[in-house]
Amino acid sequence: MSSCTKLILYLTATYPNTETFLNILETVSHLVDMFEIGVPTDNPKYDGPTIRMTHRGAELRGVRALEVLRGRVPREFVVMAYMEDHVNSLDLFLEKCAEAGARGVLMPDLLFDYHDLVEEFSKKCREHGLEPCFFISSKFPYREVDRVLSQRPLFIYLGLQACSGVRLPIFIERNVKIYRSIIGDRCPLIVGFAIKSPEDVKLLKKLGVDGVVVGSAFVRELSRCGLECGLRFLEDLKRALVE
Amino acid sequence: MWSKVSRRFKEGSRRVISMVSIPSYWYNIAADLPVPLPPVRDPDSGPSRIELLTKILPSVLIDQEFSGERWIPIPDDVRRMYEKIGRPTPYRRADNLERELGLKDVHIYYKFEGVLPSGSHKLNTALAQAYYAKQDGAVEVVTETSAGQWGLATSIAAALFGMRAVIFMTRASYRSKPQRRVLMQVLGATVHPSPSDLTEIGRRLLEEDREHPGSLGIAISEAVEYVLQRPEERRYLPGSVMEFVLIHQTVIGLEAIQQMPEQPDIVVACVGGGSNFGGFTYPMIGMRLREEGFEKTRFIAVESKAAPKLTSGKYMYDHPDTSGTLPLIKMYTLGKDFVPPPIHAAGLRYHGAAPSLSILVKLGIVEPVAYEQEEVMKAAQLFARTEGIIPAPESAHAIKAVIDIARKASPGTVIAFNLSGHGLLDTDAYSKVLGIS
Ligand SMILES: Cc1ncc(COP(=O)(O)O)c(C=O)c1O
Repeated sequence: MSSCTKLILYLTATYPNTETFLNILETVSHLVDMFEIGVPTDNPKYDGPTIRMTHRGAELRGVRALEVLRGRVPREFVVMAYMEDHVNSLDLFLEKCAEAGARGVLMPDLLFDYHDLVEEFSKKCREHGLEPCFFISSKFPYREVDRVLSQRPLFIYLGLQACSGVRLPIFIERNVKIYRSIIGDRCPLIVGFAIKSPEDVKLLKKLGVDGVVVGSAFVRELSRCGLECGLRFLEDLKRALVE
Repeated sequence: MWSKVSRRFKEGSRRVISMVSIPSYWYNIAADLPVPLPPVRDPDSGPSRIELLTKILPSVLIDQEFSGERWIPIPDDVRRMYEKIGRPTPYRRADNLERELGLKDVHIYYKFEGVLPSGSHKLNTALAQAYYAKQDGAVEVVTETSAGQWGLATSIAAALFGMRAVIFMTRASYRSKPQRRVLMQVLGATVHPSPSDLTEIGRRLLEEDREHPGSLGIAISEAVEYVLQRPEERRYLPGSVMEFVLIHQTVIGLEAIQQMPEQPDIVVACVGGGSNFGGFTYPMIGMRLREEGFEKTRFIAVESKAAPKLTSGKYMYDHPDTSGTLPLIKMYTLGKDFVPPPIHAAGLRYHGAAPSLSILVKLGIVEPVAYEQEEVMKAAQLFARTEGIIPAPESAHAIKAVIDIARKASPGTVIAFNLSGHGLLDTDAYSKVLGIS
């Protein structure tokens, strides 16, 4: 399983503008196994400073940013959005995700702030031809993992850190091992938050995760020296994963 | 070799000798909660408070705050210290109190943390935190205190690990409770009245009111700001609310479970930020959640009517400190700017409650009640006159609830509570409320 650890790139839709965003998708798609595309929001509550900046800087907000994805994402992708923004119009939102061509939907606040909606969310996803994905934290109740697994998700996303892009001194090996062993081979486990180097992804691959998500580190590379640097950064990660 | 022989008496004075050992692991209830703990969050504006944590807290404590491990190993050095300070603490039957209340076949037990050198449970986490701060290369530990219980515990832990302690003490207590302040100084700590002019928030508040009584929230803000002035050598040690504090305190409940001659039907502890409550009850609540025992046990959290977050607060994201330097946590709160009236149980004057405790209250697994200080201190006096122990005013809240419950309990009921500290230094509270001069 670990020999095919996927490289997943997180991007906030239409950041820094629609044209550049679509260009990035095209340019890096040969290095990326899957995209996770964030719906720009005014309240990216679990995100760290870098991703927050991309939400503020995106050209379009909300579902309008999804519309530009239609037929333009060169790889399989999932949509990331906060339930808080869409809880009152979930059907419409999922319809837009489906129209955009997403395979799945990940709502990181679902299990925490909308715990009662888990089953309904899964059901509605399937009605729209989408696969539910679930975000769990590094101290997630063991039994709740089983409840999530019973929804037959596309994957479980384990947040390694307190928020995206910020590295705290957390012993992530231990936490990954705990949730990998609870999940077993019942569902793919992907991990993200503050992954930023080939060493990071090598370690995570060794721990048996099925995919690694990079986001903030890629944005920082882009702002440092443009798409060139972004590409090289992803190449390095890709090499570390296939080695 | 760590286990100790402790004697306990079962009803009818049948003597039972049992081995009670200091636990080798702390318990982390996050692994067993029926719903996940909401993540900590940054506020909408300003710098990342989450990022700032690395400059404020010892690194292992940050790890423990985000650990998915159900059982967290206690380092040998900390376990040795637990033995040095007198753990395991006693678990006793309050049979004199039972008689005085005229109870028929209702048993009351208490775990007594007041036997520790600090006089309260606070030392259990202070030792662990100072140990981890030292591991990080810090030479100074910094914290807030109100009644002085946490400041005293931190001062003892610093002394035991050869570190300096700097304590921001709410001005109301600094004035009214010189006893613990003096003891902190005896132990080598530096104690500042809060708000102080050592920090920006302190100076701002002093400008509004030179005699500002302070609050725990303000003192936390000052301690954190003071650490950030020199993060290479200082570490902030929080006395409650953070999940790792509750984790360390689970030594109380893990010992108690070994010591219980009978399983309690009702378990009671007081709540400031939730650390002695969580420490005492979580190992039992955990067993219940894993269906290993305590199926029918009720868990009662007793707070002060002066800071009634669990009974009247809102469940929402809020800062644990008044200045908002620390990340947002989801909890029952009265608002970070809430300044409680200066009651005698200063350790309960806090606006929020630990996230895990808040969730358990929200789910109805823990039932909150609130009491006024007068009725609480009368209960404390009754306990003193029957059991011979002067309870801390904070712990007396638990006693008041226990007495009320016991009076109405049906025969066969077993009640257990945590007596989190003694009140030998709280003469001011006793003299004022009970009118003893
Ligand atoms: C003796 C005693 N009990 C209880 C408390 C309340 O704090 P917590 O809820 O964290 O146990 C304090 C706080 O200072 C205390 O000193």
